[in-house]
Amino acid sequence: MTSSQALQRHSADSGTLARLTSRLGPWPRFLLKRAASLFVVLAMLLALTFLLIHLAPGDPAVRKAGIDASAEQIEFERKALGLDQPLPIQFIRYVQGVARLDFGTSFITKQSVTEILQQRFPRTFQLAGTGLLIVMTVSVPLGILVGALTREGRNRRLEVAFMSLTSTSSALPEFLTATFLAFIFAVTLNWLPVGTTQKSTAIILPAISVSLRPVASLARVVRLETLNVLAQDYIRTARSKRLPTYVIFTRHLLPNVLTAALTIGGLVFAGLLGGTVIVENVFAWPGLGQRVVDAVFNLDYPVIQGIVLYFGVIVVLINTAVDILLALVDPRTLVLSE
Amino acid sequence: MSRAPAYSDVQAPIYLAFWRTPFFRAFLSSPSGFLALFLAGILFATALLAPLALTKEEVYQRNVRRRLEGPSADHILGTDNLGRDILKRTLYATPLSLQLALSAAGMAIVIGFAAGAVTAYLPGRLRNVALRLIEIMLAFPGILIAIMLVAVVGTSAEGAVLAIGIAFSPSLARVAYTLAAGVAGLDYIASARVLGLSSRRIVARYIIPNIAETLIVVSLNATAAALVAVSSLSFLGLGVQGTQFDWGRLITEGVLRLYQVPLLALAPATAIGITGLTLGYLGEALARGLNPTLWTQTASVQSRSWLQRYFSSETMLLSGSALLLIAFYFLPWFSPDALDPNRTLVTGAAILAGRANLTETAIGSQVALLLLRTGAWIALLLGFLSYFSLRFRRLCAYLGLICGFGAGSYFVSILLADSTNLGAALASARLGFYLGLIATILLIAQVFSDKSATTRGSHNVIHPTSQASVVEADMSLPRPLLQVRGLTVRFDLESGAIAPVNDINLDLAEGEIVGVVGESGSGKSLTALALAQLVPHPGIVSAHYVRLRGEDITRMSAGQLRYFLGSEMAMIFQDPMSSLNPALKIGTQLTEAPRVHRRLSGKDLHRLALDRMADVHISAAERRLRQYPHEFSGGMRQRAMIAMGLMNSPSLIIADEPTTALDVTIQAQIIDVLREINQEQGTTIMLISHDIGVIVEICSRVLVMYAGRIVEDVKVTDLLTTDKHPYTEALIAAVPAFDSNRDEPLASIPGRPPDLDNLPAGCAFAPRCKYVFERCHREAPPLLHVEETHRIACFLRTEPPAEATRE
Repeated sequence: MTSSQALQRHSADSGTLARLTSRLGPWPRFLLKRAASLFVVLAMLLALTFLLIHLAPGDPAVRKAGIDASAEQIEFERKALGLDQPLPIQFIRYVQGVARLDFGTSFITKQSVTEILQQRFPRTFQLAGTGLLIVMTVSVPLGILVGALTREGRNRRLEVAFMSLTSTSSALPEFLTATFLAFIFAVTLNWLPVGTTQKSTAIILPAISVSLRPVASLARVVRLETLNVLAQDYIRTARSKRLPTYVIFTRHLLPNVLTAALTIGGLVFAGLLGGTVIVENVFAWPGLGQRVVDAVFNLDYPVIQGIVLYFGVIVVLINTAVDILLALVDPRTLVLSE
Repeated sequence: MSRAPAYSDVQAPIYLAFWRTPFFRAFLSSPSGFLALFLAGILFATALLAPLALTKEEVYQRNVRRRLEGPSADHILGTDNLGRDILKRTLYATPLSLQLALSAAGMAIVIGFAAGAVTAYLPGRLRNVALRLIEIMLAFPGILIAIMLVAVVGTSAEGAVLAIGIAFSPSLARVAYTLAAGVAGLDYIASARVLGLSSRRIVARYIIPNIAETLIVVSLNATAAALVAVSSLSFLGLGVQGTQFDWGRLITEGVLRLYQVPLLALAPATAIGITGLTLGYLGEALARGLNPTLWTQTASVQSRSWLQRYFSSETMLLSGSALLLIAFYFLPWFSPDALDPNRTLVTGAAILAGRANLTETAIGSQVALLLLRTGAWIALLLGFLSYFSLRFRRLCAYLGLICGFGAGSYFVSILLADSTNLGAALASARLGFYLGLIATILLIAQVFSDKSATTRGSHNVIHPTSQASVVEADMSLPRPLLQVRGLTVRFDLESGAIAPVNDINLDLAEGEIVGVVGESGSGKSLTALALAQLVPHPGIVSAHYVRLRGEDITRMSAGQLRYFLGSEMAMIFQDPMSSLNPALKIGTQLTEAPRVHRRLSGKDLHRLALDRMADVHISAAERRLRQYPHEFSGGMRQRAMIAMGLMNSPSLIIADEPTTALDVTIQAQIIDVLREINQEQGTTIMLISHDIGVIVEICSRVLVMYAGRIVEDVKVTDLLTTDKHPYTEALIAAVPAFDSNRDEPLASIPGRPPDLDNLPAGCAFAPRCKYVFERCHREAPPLLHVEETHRIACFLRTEPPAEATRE
């Protein structure tokens, strides 16, 4: 079961919301529920990132002021950070700040976190976007092709090769893939550059490293779904109508397979985003992932807060987009959610 | 999870030795089982022996003069930036890396499973909140959560373990919740409860066995993922700190000097890769072993000859990867100066005799060469041998483990060669060597004691009774639309070949409605699929000819066939819900065939679709065409299905159980629609059903099938009057009527439908026939004319024995 399904089931259970929305059409009702769950998740994200600074050992004010700071300096910083206020007030201030896109300033570089996000995010977006493009363009056709070739137990050899290959590559952590790729293509063959963002080819290796694992796992899912769809009665019906093979594949198979791919698309994207954190550090790619690790080293709490919140919001938005897209592609989702 | 309730039936009796249990056989039925044991052996040996054998100085002592060297005799994989041996450091990091991964996974498993199980038993609203929380946590990248947690608990090995443990627990909680909630609701648990089994017994007997497989596999996957995640954190510098190091941290050092000494990063990277593979293979093999539904499949693989098994794709592929792994492991010892067979033997003998008077080089190169290569070859040999016979398999498992362990200890022994601790080096080497020796002796003993020949599954041979019957079956119908001669569908299975459709001869006249009746498994649906050239893989269809409108479709090219059958033949299937594509509008599905075959489009096509919808009495057709199948009722779906079949005005409609999935009242509607189409458009219909009542209602002629053959071909009007095939007689008697005596039990046909891979020699119905006589067991009766319009395959009717006629 997917996250979206579970969320739907939950929404269906909550009585007040159902009563409120029962007079609306399926689409407004669906969108309203999505908006409500989006709101809840965002609130939780805010609370979690806010608590980070309070759960952490040590005094943030000391971190900011420096170890050899005087008591007055520390007290000054505590006031500046608002840590002398009661927790609820602090939380409200935090939320107000976030609403103004003000996430505070770095303890170390004194740079504002918003500025850091503006500087760093394009790089991460470039990497994750290219990765996602690779994932979608490789894993869906690959999964469908292998699924079609191995249907009904045909081509056992191909099936075993595919399974071994995908299970091996999905067991390889990103930093290993990155290391191996860098060794082969940058060190041994000297085809591609690493450790730079100046050349346009520099993104190739990081993007492949970040997408290999999602490609493998998504291709497996797509293959399974292809097998599943090909075994359906309606494919036999389509064959009984003597439609050309390409029509059967594009019209009868693809939409159903894409729906399945889309359903786990949110999770795949989350995994991809996690991968960029690691890969950015291997290839010295100046994105958010590299910055957040630096921040953890220095216990630079505002930066950690800001970046984690930012990533969280992206993941939540993508998941909501996937849910809506799914409802557009497969109208049954709307009916099911009632 | 939809496991058959009969788990206890297939469970092995307690007294079976472990290696004879189906679990163990299934575990080793694919090379991954063997590889898992072998690699696990190596890992464990390294983890146990490396810290004992390697002293701290060897691993930590700097030697700046020999920094960043390539591979050499002294440093097999070269040295790092401080002149320390890369291989030794990689091996030394094994126990810590494994320990961290296992602790993190253990923590995630404990937290996750507990949370999941508790969630499953929470009251409704609370459970939804808990589930929602789990879902939200799942949506976030695990590594990001872990990084945030590390920021809270602090950067250290313990911090990394804690962070990964917490970050990974939601996915495990989800699995545990699904399992706990799923298993408790299953039918057989409910029936066990009704039977009055105690809760403890239910848990031990039904729940644990059913979720154990998933739990174990999930736990192993979690361990593999935790290894990756912990080393990712270490790699980022957020894990292991200070002078401690694990594989992840070694890679960090390596990546910085990737250009100078690639092995610095590649050695620990490979170690992680191998560990991940080991866990993956272990999970795969355990899943196979713990899943009772796979045990029988394993048995069928056994029935292949050893040659087939040896060259099977899995063996080749996995042996290949094993070779690669082992080659990497042993690569350093294939250096030219180590290859001196004479000295190797002498050294080996010296070690065996326990004389420790060896020079450092002797131990360094010779011992390693002899022992490691012996171990490697034995292990490889065993890997291949384990597919020769089942008897080997258990032995191979043990030997694989022993050799893995042995190889691991040899491996450590060579590291000590240049160390001062000569005693430990020799002890370790000796242990490994003895283990290898024991393995070899056991193997040889087993080879010589194994005299039993491989038994093969008997192959059923199918004799088509054809040729003669081709002429015989000519029914000279007035205007034949479909003529089928010798239609056979064959499946070549591992247990032998079966023919669920065997030598079918039939003719359909234009405008006829012919019924095909028989029990499930009689081959009637497969006959329909064979006529439509839609038999599923790996079925093989053969026929003398199948003529539709005089054209033999068995001789057509794929393109011709597509066009010809696309416009001449339509099929209607049993379940209209699953036979219509849920994601496409009815209109799209209706119009796609004429669009392709008749090149219709636009208004013409739309009008045609509306006409056909009217033919099957679907009102508001304009609106209906824009709807999806789920918006239709069951009967309406089937009528839409019929309308779809009519789009190209086919001359033949094959309807495969079109009414079976529907209510009785809806059934009548469908039958009426079919009759109307037949009368108004003259379409020939072949109606397949197991319900003789439906057939009698609409058909003019009926074909009775049994065990893949037609046993009777008779006019419906003659069905109640003339002498019939005993099977047809029994079928009719089994239909309850309103006036049947309710006190008498319902009539049923004694015995079971025949087993296709074990058909009797003579008539297939003989074992269940009440008129059976001696000849029936000897020969199969051919389908012969008893009248102009009546064919029967029964000796009783065609050539009755003396005493039977008297009766």
